[in-house]
Amino acid sequence: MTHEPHQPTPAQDDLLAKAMVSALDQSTGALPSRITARLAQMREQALAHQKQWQSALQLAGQGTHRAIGSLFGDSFGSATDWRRWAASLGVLLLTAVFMFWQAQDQVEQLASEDSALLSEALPPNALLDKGFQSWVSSGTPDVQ
Amino acid sequence: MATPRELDAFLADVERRAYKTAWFAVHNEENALDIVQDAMLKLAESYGDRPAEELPALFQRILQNTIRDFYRRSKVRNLWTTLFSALGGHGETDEESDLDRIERLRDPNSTQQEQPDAALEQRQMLEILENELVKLPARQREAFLMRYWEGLDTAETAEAMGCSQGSVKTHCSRATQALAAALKAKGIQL
Repeated sequence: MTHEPHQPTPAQDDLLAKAMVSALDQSTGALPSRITARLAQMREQALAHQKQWQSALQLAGQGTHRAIGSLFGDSFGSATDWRRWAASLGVLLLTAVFMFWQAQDQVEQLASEDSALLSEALPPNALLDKGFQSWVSSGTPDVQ
Repeated sequence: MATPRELDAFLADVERRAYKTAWFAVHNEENALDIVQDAMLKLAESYGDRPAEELPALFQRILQNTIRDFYRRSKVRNLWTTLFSALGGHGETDEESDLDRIERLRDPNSTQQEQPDAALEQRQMLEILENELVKLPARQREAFLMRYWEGLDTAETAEAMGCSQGSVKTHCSRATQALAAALKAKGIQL
């Protein structure tokens, strides 16, 4: 009968590894001061980069805010909540009016095209006739 | 999004371990510091908008990639150095000074002259562990340090290493057994 070599269980591995890393943890506490000072300096540099990035975002946000403010007056920047709501409502109303005007314009265009078609001498049913369409096509010199 | 205070706290917590991790990989103080600096900057610049809880895994991935980049650059630099030294024959002095520096860093007496007896075994254990970590295959070392020292779970470690969770478990187990065997060989039983 053969015996397989003893294989440690994952739990045993974990215990061993934890004992090892606790020793490694102690080593980080004993780093020379020149290294810890450099690390602190690097951290500050990294934070300064994040701050620059954040301030860039803030500037962009402020720019948008001012752009809106210039549309609604300088008081927008320091406006109270109800003023902001009123301004937002105004923007929504203007958008709705613009969309309605666009839709109306389209309807009017279609109506004028219809009336132009109906007022021509050519009966509208002729445009639906395939024979008439092929006659128009064959009569056009550009069409092969 | 991580606030500057959260990022500061995270980096302060991880920076020393990151330095040691880089040092185990490159065996050089200046290079290890450069790697940590690059990793910190990349994290702050590219991932400063991520939530604080995502930072540990992201930072480990960046750190390991930065170490790999260092290896790649070193390989190219060594190729040119070998070429030039073959032509000029002046490469030996630099190599010697690097080795001296590594030995000096590894020498526990260089920073601490006398240790109490109670701490002697702990110091020996640490010395063996550090030497053996340097000798471990890179992937095993990565997995071991991320999983156990950084406390990432298996899934996070696998994601940071770009491999399966099964591979992480195997790497970790082999690394642990290799380190335990090295300690046992020197008479230290955990």
